[in-house]
Amino acid sequence: MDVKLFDSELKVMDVLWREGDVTAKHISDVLKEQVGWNMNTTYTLIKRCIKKGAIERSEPKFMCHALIPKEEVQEAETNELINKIYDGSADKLFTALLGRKKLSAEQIENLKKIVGEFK
Amino acid sequence: MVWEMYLLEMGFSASVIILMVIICRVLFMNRLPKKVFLVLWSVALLRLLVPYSFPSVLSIYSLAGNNQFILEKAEDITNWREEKHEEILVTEKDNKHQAGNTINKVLAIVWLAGFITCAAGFIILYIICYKRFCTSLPVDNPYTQEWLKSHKIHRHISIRQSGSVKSPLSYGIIHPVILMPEMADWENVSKMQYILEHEFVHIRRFDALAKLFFIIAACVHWFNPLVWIMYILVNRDIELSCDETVVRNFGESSKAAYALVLISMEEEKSGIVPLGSSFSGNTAEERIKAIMKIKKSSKTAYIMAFVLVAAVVFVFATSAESAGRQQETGNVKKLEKPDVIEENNNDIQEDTIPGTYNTVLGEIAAGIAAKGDYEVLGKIVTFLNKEDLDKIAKYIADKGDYESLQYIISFVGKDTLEEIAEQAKKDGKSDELQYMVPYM
Repeated sequence: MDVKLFDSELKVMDVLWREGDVTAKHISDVLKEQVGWNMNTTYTLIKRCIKKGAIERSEPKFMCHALIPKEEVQEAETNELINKIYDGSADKLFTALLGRKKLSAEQIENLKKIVGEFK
Repeated sequence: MVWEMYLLEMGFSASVIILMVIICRVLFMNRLPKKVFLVLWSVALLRLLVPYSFPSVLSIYSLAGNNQFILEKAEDITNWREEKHEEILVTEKDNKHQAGNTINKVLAIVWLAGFITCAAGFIILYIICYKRFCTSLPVDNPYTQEWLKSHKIHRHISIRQSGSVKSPLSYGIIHPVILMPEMADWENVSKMQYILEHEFVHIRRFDALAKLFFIIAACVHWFNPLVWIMYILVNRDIELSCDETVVRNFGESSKAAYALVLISMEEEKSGIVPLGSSFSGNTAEERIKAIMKIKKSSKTAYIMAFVLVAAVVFVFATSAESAGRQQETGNVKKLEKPDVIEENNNDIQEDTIPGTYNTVLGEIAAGIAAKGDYEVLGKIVTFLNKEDLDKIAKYIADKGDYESLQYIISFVGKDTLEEIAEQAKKDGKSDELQYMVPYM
């Protein structure tokens, strides 16, 4: 899947990533609750995702299956962020993240552990 | 036939009002609170949408009995219609009557076509916007929560964001929504407060609803270029007035800061949102200049404003009232038939024919008939309301001036013609009615 997903479409994918395969109706109910979209809006978005190759539809009942895993989207978005804003350098992004001073002690511990794993 | 009259009449007097407001706008734009212009525009709007007007001696149309201008215009229109007459192959006599009806039908269809086209255009724009806005996501952060709490109104306001808008805007009449672009920086509190305040003023004043009414007026009067000019200017004035209110709310010293926010948003232009109000766009330059010129309104300014509005309303928004009337509500069209046609034979005034006329034009025509200017009368007869025409015809007949009836005879109603014929027989003047025979 090469085409980028918009924010609104990611919201739809999010439901599938969290809950696994569900019906389109269910997605629309969840999103009505979450963001206030009406049924038509959600269905239009689901169809757009299908067109982009992100969702697979199966009958009966318009079952939706996520064709791309969340991790793939996360990586794609991160790469784009690094390339666009951080001059293609992942280090700069990392530095920026650390520099935000919003990391709790727990997060710092976790980071140290991850760095340790990569050694 | 009657609705055409209303349309033309309303359009005509509204056009005059619009011209007046345009002049006022040029002269007084930065000296009066912008709200004044909105009031003036509302006067024009009422005149465009509401067929009633109250009569006033101050009205400019009270002078209309002597007004050459209107007659000349009527003549122009009649000439145009006569050309159209030739295009429709008519044979003499009673085809003249039918041609009149055919023309009316053609005009009605033309108007309907124009109206539907304009309405369709706006509806399509609305649908395009709706499609762009429906995938917006709600915005929920401490700042917005705080803001919503401190800006409570009866209706529930939602703040949302969308990748499809480049500039903040608001829409929705029953459930107002403030729509922010994706990159909105919620940390920038000073900037955010101006933006939100601006949209809040729009919401509170029901600007979306007002714009809807102006759109309706523009569609109904689509053939009148002044109404479109009004539409453009009204949208601008709504923005200017909103800016003024925001600056007033924050205090005059905030002018520069507010203007800077506007300038920084100017780079991102939004699309066409007819029922919504956007933050930038809308000739930002005019707005920035206007913002910097905002000053505290003095008492004189308010008095001037009041006088101006009163003048415009009483002179241009009222209808003619001539002396010697029996009934009070001279020009208010009654939906039921007028009760009694007062024919005051003892007290016939020189300048006008007694009786109630349904339209302004009826009044004017009566004045013309009273003067005996039958040729001129004949030129505007096609525009007259049927009842008014019959009344005038009867009056002329009563005067015994049967010959002069020929100018208007083809449009007089059959019943009236028969009455007049009866009357003529009694008076022994049936010969003079020879020309009438084909119409009976």
